[in-house]
Amino acid sequence: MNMLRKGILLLCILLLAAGTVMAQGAREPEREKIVVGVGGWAVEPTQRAIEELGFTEETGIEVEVVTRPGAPPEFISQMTSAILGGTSPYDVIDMEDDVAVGFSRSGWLVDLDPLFDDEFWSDWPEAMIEMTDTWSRHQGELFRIPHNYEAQYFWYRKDILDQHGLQPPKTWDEMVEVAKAVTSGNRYGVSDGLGQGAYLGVYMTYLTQQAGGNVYDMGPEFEVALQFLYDMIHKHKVFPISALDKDYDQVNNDYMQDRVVMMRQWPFFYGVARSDESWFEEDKAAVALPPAGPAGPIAYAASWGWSIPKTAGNVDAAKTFVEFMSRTEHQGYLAQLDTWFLSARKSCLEAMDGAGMAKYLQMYSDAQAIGTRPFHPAGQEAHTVVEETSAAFLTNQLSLEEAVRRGRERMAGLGR
Amino acid sequence: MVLFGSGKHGLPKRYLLFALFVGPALIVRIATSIYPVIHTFKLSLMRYNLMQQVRDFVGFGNFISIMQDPTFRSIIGFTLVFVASSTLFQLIFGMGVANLLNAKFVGRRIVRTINLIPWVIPMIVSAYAFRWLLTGDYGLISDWIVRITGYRPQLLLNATSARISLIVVNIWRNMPFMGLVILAGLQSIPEELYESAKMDGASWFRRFLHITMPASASTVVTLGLFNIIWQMSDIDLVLGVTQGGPGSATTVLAFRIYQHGMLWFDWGLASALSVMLVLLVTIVSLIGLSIFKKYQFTL
Repeated sequence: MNMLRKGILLLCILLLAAGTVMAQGAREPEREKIVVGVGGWAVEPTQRAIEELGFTEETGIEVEVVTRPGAPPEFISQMTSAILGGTSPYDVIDMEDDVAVGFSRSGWLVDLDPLFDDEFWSDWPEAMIEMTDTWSRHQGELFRIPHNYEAQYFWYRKDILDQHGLQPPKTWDEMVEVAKAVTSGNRYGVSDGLGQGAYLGVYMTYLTQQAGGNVYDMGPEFEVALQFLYDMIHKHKVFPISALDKDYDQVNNDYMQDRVVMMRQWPFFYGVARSDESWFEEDKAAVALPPAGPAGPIAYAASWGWSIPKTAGNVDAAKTFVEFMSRTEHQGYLAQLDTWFLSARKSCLEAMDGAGMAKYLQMYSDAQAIGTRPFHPAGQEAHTVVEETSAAFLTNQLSLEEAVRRGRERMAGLGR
Repeated sequence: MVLFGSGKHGLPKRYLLFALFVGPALIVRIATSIYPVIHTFKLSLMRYNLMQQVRDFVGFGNFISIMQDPTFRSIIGFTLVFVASSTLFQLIFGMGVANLLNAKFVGRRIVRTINLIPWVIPMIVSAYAFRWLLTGDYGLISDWIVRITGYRPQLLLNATSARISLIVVNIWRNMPFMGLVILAGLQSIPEELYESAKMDGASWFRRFLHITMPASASTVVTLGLFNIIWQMSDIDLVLGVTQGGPGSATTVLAFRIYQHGMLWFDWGLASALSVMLVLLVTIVSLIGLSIFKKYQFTL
């Protein structure tokens, strides 16, 4: 019996000791932590930026960088459910233009204006401010602060064109001629990622702007652009129909497997091309101005930026992060770290000094080839109408006239 | 007797007990089922768009907008074709599978388990897998077709082949479940019926036609009815395989509701489409029930 009592006493002492140790541990101040959601391609550079700029050392806030769904439909579904449920899987989100518009109109994002003063904005060129006002402000509030400013670039295989004694095309007609000369077997002259769900709409916006119109008007310029793409696919056979089922990763893969000679792509391809050291040579990923359509050589710019959902778990720490990453003194380092952070901010271009993609950004800027991205208040829905209209014609379901007539009807109905 | 009797003091207590037992379940049912239906109907009469920050009463305005949408007719058309053809072929093949699995052979239990594999894989996983199998440049199925015919098809970039592909994947996925349920029905048919028919010289086909078919008719009709209702509201397959494309060729009504509600934040229009979906399901159910009653009478 004595043994039993001693045993119980010993157990009690042990439990007491364990409890005391745990309580001591609990008393230590816990660090604040935030979750930052970025596209899969931006996880590594964002983590490196946070570490090398010493964010946690300076603020005491720990950051977990996680991958958010890259495709807008999946991301919107995830966030809609979370926000309406009063939560958010991320404290800070790296968000694209069209998704940010939808979220801001729904009143789901925190106003970031108080974080930035006049001195901060003096680092921004007029074109970026104009774009920010269109795509990142609603009712006077800044709901997203862009961290990049991306034009779409015309990439081409200089090595292949040289073999054929060809120069990069300057016009649509030249592009078709060059493409005809280099298309053979499994290799196509031109391609792009045109899968439905964001990609096809982007390309049609790009072509329609080169034709002199706004894709959302679905005017004659849209018809010209659509017919041009149709002819490249079906008449000249220099553009693979399979592009209509591909995303950017797949078309990049085609390009780097030597199956595509020319393509439009965002600046992230600069890093993608160089990541395959066994394939990459400068002449394999050269950049030229976009082939001019009837309205000239234009490629609109887009941006990604930091936003904070109102339902985030730690809004204050999230604001600290956004302010830190947007600081003028950090922009040069960030742009050198990865093209994902390259913008036309003065501090950024100064630090880059014409290196990397900054050279091409300057080239496009000097040629006044960077256009303003067309805006539609219905955002994703308008984009879907463009895609469904275009795909119906490109896959021979409807004539051009019928497809466009239906598209216009649907577009007109969006303001109901 | 005091609690359950009909005496002077018994009646109120009976009601109290009834309310105590049934009340909680009733409240849960109202909150999770009846309220959402009423609220959806209410929203269908409103212009309620989060992006446009509007919320006002428009009567049947949303329904008129839907009718004016040039893609609506084709969406309804494909929804009906998709559900009807999928269900029909699932039942036909399911009946075949059930008969095969009802036969006596070594390893029957293992085969029955293997049969269920397509059905136990989550639909969205199957859908994405088939997207990769069917895609033109990299797909395994496309590759087989190239090896056999020398022609590379773009199955998901042609309206007809995309629609057929979607239906075939749907049949592949749901057929095992159909087979299993029909098998349960077949096992309840007395063996003596078959034996006496055999003694009377009835062939396999006649036994199937006069014993198996009538005996499993009520199971098949019930199963078909439920399957139609489930598939009317299913979006996983379309979302994963075609995203409704090319164009809107494979968009079904439930997928359009998802787009309006979850992607475009137009809850008024999404609710109106949902009401139409409910009406469609109700009509199909009523037709199914009338067929069901007919077969019950026959049996």
